[in-house]
This record gives sequence, structure tokens and C-alpha cells, in this order.
Amino acid sequence: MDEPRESADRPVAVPLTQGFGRRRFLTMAGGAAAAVAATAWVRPSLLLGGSAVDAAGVPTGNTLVQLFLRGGADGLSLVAPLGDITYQTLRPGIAVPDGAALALDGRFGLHPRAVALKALYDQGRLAVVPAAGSPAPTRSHFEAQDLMEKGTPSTNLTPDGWFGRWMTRSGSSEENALRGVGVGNGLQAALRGSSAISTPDLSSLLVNDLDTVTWTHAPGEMTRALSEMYRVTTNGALKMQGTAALAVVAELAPIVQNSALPEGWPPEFGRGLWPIARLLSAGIPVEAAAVDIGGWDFHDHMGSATDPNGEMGRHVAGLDAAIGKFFEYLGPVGDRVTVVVMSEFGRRIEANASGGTDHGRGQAMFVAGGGVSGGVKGAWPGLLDTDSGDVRVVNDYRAVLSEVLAQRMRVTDLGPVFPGFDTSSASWLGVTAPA
Amino acid sequence: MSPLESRTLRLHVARRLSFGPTNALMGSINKVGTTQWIDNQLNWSAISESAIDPYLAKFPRASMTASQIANGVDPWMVKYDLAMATLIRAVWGKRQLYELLCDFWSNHFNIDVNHDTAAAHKPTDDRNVVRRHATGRFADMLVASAKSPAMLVFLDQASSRADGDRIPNENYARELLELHTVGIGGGYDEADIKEVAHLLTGWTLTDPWVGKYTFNPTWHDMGPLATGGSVLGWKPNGLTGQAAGQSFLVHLARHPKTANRLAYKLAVRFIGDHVKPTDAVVTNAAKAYTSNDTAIAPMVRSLLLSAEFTAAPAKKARRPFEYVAGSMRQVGMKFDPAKSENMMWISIDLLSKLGQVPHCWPAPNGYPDSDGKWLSAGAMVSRWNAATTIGQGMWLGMPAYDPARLLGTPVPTTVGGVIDKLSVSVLQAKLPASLRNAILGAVGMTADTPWLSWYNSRGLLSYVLQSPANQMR
Repeated sequence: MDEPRESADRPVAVPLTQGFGRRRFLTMAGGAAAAVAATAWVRPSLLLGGSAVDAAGVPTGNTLVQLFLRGGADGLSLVAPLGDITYQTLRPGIAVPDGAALALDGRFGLHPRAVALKALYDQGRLAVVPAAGSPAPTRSHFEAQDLMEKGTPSTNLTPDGWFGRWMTRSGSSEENALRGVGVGNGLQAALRGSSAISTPDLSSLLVNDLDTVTWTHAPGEMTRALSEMYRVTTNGALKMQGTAALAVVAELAPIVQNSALPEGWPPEFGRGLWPIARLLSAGIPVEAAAVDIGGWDFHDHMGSATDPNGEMGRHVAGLDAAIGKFFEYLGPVGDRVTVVVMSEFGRRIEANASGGTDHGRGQAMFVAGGGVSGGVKGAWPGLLDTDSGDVRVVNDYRAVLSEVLAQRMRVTDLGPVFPGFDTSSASWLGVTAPA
Repeated sequence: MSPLESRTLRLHVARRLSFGPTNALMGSINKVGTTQWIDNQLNWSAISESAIDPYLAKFPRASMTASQIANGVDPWMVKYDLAMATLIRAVWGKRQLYELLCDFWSNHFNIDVNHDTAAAHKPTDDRNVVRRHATGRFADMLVASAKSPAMLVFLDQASSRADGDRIPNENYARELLELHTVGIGGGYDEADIKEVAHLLTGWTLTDPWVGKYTFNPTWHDMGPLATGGSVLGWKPNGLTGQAAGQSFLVHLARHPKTANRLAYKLAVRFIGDHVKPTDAVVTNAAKAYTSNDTAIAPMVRSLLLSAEFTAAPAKKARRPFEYVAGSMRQVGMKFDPAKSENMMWISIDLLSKLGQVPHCWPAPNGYPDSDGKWLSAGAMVSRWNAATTIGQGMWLGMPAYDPARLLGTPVPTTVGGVIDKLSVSVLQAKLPASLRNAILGAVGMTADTPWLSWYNSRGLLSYVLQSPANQMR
């Protein structure tokens, strides 16, 4: 399903919203005002590795989605080691029973409620990386997330994120205002340093016009007032965000007005993935997306994996349904979209007195969708050789991201994205199909 | 008032140390000067707040005990009432600086009201931990927080035990060190967290719904600290059980790293994101805290009377709650007890869209306090929409505010004059010419266009509320 590199310049059939696909909008460069609906599209340089949008405005590029499980998701519940007496002994009542796990390769099994992930796995569209994570030893949520998203585990002084550095280096001076999208109230640390926009949902990108009481009745009056006020303001942050917002609002109106969650979409866990699915299916060339799913900090009452009311199981089921629906909705477009699922850390092997697990180290990562080489990837240290009682991190998350960036997003110079890390193919784990 | 004290400083104090500047607030600052006004605000118990009691009475679940809540109250309604009580105090209360400090400490000791049985205990925590100690001794607040049922539930301390071969729950111990006191880099490691978790085993609740704090000695085991060793310079010195934990908490409150971290967090809140933990303004405030045995008011006073504070007008973006509550204050929104439920649903909806319903941040670190976390493209649109809702008075038909009062008497005779008057009424300053011209251009008029009696000022007011000038503190 991976498309050959040579096809980068060729238009690929992607469903487009009526009347939208040919119009592209530009964001400001260096604070200049947005020029909306420009007629000439300037193609980003392929030499810089950014995926391309061709002169006709048809997207040919791929999309990388960082799906971050906030709170430290328990890798040993998501991907359980099979036939492991240590695992079963140290986690009475909360270990996934061998008989219930959805067996992958004989060594590991998915949580019984990860049925959509299992289906992706069986189709060869899911790579599973156990014992993954960052070399930073911290078990603090906030420090671990920060270091991981900055992509520089040995220092938190880095101002930008790994995703943001990639976007900046591969971007053109006139780029698609929705090239990078973070779903949330503030931009994810991974996307910082780029021109990515952030929004909690699509309906938040609709400006309500003056309604019950009108002023001059002139259409577009409020948009003109806002555009001019945020163009002339001397506050740099307000100018940048306000101008970006108006550029996006103008172009997205037809999509936003039709952006209610579709029937059957997981309302809680799938909410963050929905805007990305909607934009991609409408032909918007989003290249970098960051989505969060919270609530994974299970210090207590994880519950049995076979109890339909178990809290951990409910979360796994929610995550599973969200990813499943996402790819189901995208259909063939999904072959161009790669989702990397990660968390700040995994959890302690041994359960605590509250029927939960405390902060640990190694986690389970997933790489799902387009261009993936399915299977369980990377090394596995087992549960006896531990990091102070936690799963050792033997598969660096940067190896996974480097490989996806190089193979799917065609990044040729990864050094600055993950400074100090060997980003070459020597470090890769084989999560993508050969290009 | 010092004759040297500029209007710039007075306006800065009004914007930064309240939820939003109003005529009345400017009047009280002008009367006594900024220093005395700050001191008056820190002495908040002397400021009568009885005027808002009838408003708060419309949201009674915000002040209920756990037993009252357990007696048939929907936990969701506790959440809404608490949010409304917080909003009412911010919009109509006179103890503005105190309410800002309550917001600060509520986030410092954050407890998500949606978590488990936290809703039953959250009003008690708000009352007995946050509001009781917001300007008092931090050591007292820390101990009160450690024994607060809502905190015991939220960070799982209530179920942590070390009897038999049980392994203590580390959740509270970790956040106690990382978030409540010394912070990352405070000089502790993973082994210390495990030792503190052991030390605090037995601090629990008599019942998850209606219970109170209790120390259960059979769950307690001092762990490694019983046989030597220390954490952050603290040793049991023969203490055990509850007394040992209490001694450790007070030690943490008095720790220099705690002093510096609290001073830094308050400086970021009240001065700006540009402050560094090593700046003199921070170390001076930390000194005031330490030399007054962890007293909060002297630390805050030190920050607010600093040159760094004076030099920071409009350096900090309003967070969504401040933007919504402040805009409501500034237009003179009226509270109509007969329509309080409408106001609740609309307010909660606005705050939800903007991502800052009070007491609902899910993680233990509290709502973020850096501008970058709040200024995004989607957030700007939501702010503009909130301004339209407030400016147009779309409160389901209720008389939300009086546009004539904002226009004053006599009503200005030109459109330019109206924009100026509206901005002075709600921002306490004229809009910069560039912003005024932006609005005039959009409505296709000039400053001299005559203002006709049948014109409606609500649209222009919406633009003033949407403007960049209303986004900063």
C-alpha cells in the first residue's frame, strides 16, 4: 500500500469537497498579511523533503498524525506478553489473561478490546513496538511529555518541538495554512516553532456574525473589522494567531458548517481525530497533525481486562474504536495517512495497593495506516531485566519517528529534527514498508 | 496617592490585579493609590462581600458538605454550581486580588471535580483549603490539602497502604514533591518518591463519598525511612505515623526550593512569562515568604510592589476565564436571579468552548499559565464569538447590560466619539487610533460620521471586546 517515491509529483485521486480542491490559501511569511485564495500556488521544494502539493493544487503528500496518550498509558495492558509468569504474578487481577489476549505473534497479544487494532494488524497495517520510549529517565508526566515532544531528551531548553522543526525545515515561504494542525486548546509542544494552527474542534473555526442586533447590515463587516484589527496590532502573538485564524476561517467555512460527528463515531475518545479525518477527506493537505487522548494515569482501579466495565478496558476500547473509525472513514485516503500512537511513559510492572500501577518506563507504541510494515517490531527485554521495576526502554521513540518521517514524509535531513540521535536507517525498527 | 504615580500604573494594577477594570475599580484605586489599594485587597476580610450573597445563594451546591451532596445531589450540578460561584465572585465580587489568588492556589493544588468521587468533596476543599489559606501560611495550606478528602481521592492517597506485602500508591507522593512543593530539580529522586509514599501510608478517608480524613495506623509502614536515610534533608528523628508525615509536610513548606518555586509561579502569574526563576524579583519574594514562616501575603506583596511588576503592563494574555469574566465585568453585566439558570448554561458553554471551566482541568498541574498555551487560531475565534455573545447581550432575552450607561450622557455625536466612549467605558482607555480606524473602516464610516439616535451601539461594543486591546492583562 505504500506508494513509490517517484509518484510524488503525480496527482493522486483524493476526494475533494465540491469547489474547494482547487482553491488554496497562503499564510503570512514573517508576519506579512495573509493573502487569501491566491491564484498561483508555489510548490514547496522537494529538496527540503516536504511532501508536495502540485501546481494544480491536488495534494500528493502524506500525513503523519501524532496520537498522544496523555497520562502514561500502560503498555503492558495494550500489548501483553503471553505466557509470562512474572507478568501474571505481579499483576493479580489486572494482567491480561493469556486466553483473552488477541494473539499477535506468539510472544504478545493485544488487549481483548483492541479488536480494530487487531484487524489492522491482520491486514498488515499495524506495527507494534513494545519496550519503547525515551532515554530520559524521568517518571514525571510533565517533564516526560515535554522532553519527548521537544525531541531532545537530554535538555528541556529547546524552544521548539520535533514536529515543528520538521515543518519549519521542509516548509516553503508560502504554505498551506492547514499544513500543521493541533487539535486542542493550545498547540502541542511537538508542533511548537511551526506555523501549525491549533483548534479544539472544527466548529470553533466558525465566526458567529452579529446576529440579533445588527449594525450596518453590511455582510462581512465583522470579518473586516477583525482582519484589520489583528493586522495592525503591535502584539506579535495576537497578530499571528488572529491572522492565521481568519485565513483558516475564510477557507474552511463550507467544511466547518458540515462537521458534526458522524453516526457511530466514538464521541469521547474519537473526538480529537474527527477534525483531522474531516479535513483529510475534504482534500485539505494536512501533513502534520497532533491529537491527544487523555485519562491514562491509572494509579488505581485499572480493572480486569475481561470485565466489560473495567476502566482500563474502557479506555482501550475507546482508543481502538477511534483508530478503527478513523481509517474506516478515510477509506483509500487512509493509505496516505500514518498514525503514530505514543505516550510519555509506560507503567510499573508490579501493581500497587490500589489495584493500579504507578509511573514506569517502557511503553507500547503503535504505527498504523499507510506505508506500515505490519508486525511486532524492535527488541524486547522481558520483565526480569528491569529499570528499577519498570520495563526497560530498548526501542527509542525517535527511531520510530525518524523512520516514519524519512519513509512517509520523505525527509532527507533528519539531524536537526532529533539532534544528537542517529536518525539513519541503522537505527530504524522496520515499522514502514520499503519505499 | 503619590503625585508621581502615573495613570499607566493605576490602569496596570487594575488590569493585572482584577478580573477586569471598571469605573468603580478605577475609582477605588484613584482614591487611595496603588500601594494602599493592594494592601487593602490583601486584607480582604475587611472588604464586605455581602452584596453577592444572594447571587451565590442561587448555586447552593457550591457550598455543600459531602454528606449533603451524598444525600441525593447530582455530582454534575456540584460542578456547575462551583463554576458559577467562581464566576460570580470574579465578576461581581470586590475582593478581586483575593479571588485571583484563590484561582492560583486552586490550580496549584488542582483537583478535577470530574474525577471519581471528587465532586462530593470539592466544595469542602475549595472552602477549607484554598479559600481559607489563600493569603495565609503555605505550611497550613499544604497540611490542609494533604488531609483534604478531595485530594485524597484525586491523587489516590486514600487507597495507599503498606500493610502485608502491599505496595504504596505513589501518585500523591510524586505530585506533592513535583507540583505542590520543591518541583522538578528540587533535589529528590525516584527512590525518594517511594520513601515518601511509604511515609504517608495510612493517610486515608473514612469513606470515599461522605468520609473525612483519618489516619489508619494498620495501613501505615514507615518503610526505608525507619531504618535511616533522609528525604530532602528531612529525617524522622524518632517520629512515626501521622506525626512523621505532618513533620515532613511542614519541612517541605519551609524548604528553600519550595519558596523559590512558589515565588516564581506567582511571578509568572502576576508579572509575565518573561520572568526567570533566578530573577531578583523572584528571590526577593522567596525571602519574604521564608522570613515570614511561609506566609503568602508578604510574598505576594513583594512581587506586586516590585519595579518588575510596574514595568510589565499588558505583558500577559488573559486566559479564557479572565477574558469571559472580565468582559462581563467591564460591560456591567447584571445578575438577574430569576434567570440565573440561563446565565449558568450560557456561561458554562462559553467557558467550555474556550477550554477553561473552573475546577475541570484533568491533570494535577492545574490550568496552564503561559500565553502560548492559550493563544491559538481556534482559541481566537472562540474568544471573538464569546465577545459577540456578551457584547450583543444574547443572554436568552435577559437585560444583560445597559448600553446607554456605557454611552454616557450626553451621548457622543459622532461614530468616532461613540467608539472612544465605549472603549473608555469598558477598557478604561481609548482604543489606539489604529484599532479605532480598523473598526471605522469595516463599518464604512469616518470618525466624524454623525451618530444618529436610532443607531445601536452593541455591534461596535462587540468589536471593542474582540479587539487586541481586550485580550491582554
